Amino acid sequence: MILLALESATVEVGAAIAGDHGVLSACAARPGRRHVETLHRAVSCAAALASVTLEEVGAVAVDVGPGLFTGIRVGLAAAKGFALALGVPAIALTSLEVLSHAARCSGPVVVPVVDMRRGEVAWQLGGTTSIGGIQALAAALATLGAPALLVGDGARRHGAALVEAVAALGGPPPRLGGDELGAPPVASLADLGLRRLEEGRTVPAEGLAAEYLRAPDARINFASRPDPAPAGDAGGPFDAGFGSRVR
Amino acid sequence: MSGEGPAGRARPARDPEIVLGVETSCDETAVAVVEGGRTIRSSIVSSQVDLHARYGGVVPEIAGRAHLERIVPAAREALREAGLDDRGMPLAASGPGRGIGAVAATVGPGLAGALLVGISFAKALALAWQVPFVGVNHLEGHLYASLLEDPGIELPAVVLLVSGGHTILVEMDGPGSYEVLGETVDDAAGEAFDKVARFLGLGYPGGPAIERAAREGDASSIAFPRPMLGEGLDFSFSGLKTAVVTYVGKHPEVSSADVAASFQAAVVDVLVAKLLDAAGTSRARSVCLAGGVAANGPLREAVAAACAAAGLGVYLPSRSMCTDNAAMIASAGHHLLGRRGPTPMDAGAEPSMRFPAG
Repeated sequence: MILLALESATVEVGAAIAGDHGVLSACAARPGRRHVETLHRAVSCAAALASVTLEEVGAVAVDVGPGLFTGIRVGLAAAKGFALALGVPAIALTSLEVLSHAARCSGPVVVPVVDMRRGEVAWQLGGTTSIGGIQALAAALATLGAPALLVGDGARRHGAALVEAVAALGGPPPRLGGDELGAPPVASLADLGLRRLEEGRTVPAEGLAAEYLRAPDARINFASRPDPAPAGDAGGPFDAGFGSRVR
Repeated sequence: MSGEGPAGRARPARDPEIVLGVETSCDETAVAVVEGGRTIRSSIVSSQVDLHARYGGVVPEIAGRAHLERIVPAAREALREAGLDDRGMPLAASGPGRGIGAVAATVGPGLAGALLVGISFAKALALAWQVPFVGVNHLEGHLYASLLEDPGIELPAVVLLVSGGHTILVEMDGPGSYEVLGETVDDAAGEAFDKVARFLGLGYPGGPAIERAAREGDASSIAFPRPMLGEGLDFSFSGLKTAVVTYVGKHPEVSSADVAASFQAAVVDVLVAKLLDAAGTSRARSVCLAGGVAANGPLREAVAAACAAAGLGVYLPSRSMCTDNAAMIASAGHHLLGRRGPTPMDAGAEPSMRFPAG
């Protein structure tokens, strides 16, 4: 079985091909905001390097976020297109679990941190996904018994501030991962995708859903306005089992 | 592209004449299959109007999310209706006998976060099926909507493209040969409809809401300005919107129906006068309407009457071809593929794309 992996959720855009014995090829770039200009070329590049045609692909894995909203949509729209057009199942992986997977051998406590802009980050700790400010993450890290290893673009952007904030709280100052772990590596996405495929954890093309972790702006602003309350509007994505929100 | 199947039977081939089109520039998620640039095999439009209505306009982030959720069901339905399977090849029992040979998508103008969904999806289909990808200008697509329904239109034609985002007068000599004669200097006509409808509390989208309310009103009751009438072929609608707000402020007792009818009459007067001016000063043999506002009843009636009086051929597309759809994108894509060849895979969204020169 050939797996096509697509990464476009944060600052890195890439594609990888994996076979029964593991990853065969990976192509990635950090093209600024040029996600839709880059992703499909990475697919052709990865397939060519692996000497595989897309017709041979039997499953498509994709990073569904959290991360950049438009980047997530570029990746998911492509994954839906490939899964539909090739008639194959899809595998949804989050940016946080791919980062954790990539760094799993690097320390006892790995905390993936994705930049959510507006001074917020998303992170995963003890199996729970959270979103909040730097202080909220620092407070969580300060309760740990050992220094955590922070990876992801949120760790790259806010690393120094996090180290300082955790130290100020008397916690074990976290270590910061290198820039190669500044985004979910697409080879790790492919590797994790293979495991999910073996476990049969696939969905059809239309079953792929984004993990934005944040409601659209208009909805937030509308909900915070005194009136009129939007009828029948769910409070936001946090009703859908996304874990806790920490302020 | 054709080959022998395992049983020795010829496998159906992919045919570049059969184009799948994708349109996600604003608030309609649309997928269509068109053959030979003219024959619509399917045209699916999933409207998000309900999602945006409560905000009185299209919310870009909500539109982007909705496109992503709706694109696969829309594509599947378009393929099935065209007698094709998920791989774009004929279903055993029915279908044209050949598979999809090109994929077209709107690349601009439009909302960046919405356009990206259609572009990324369409490129994936093209790569998976090993067929060309073609990026289409949404405005050029609207011109093909007219040709799609009536390939016998006499050219050159002057097309008035009026929608929520655009108000443009174009002379079309043939596919790919256009000249922009005039356009709005501020708001689009449809935008003025939306803003006035919201101001009057008539709901969203504004075009149908104003048209409905205006039926109960007197169009001659308020003399709203006819902006830039007799001043060339450009348009301006933001002053007219302000005039409505000012008038209602001074006359709070006025009926919304009278305001709606008088406002609509002012817009229609300007659109029709400039369309006829454009037709008169060009070599045009016919006149076409395109875009969502072209579905407005009084505008259609006024254009038809004026053209009949002037001895001009007139073409009024059906309502479903006026509003955003993917059949027009597939049709334009078919022509563009023949003229310019495929679009490279590094093409991105062009949110402020202009009307193509040529």
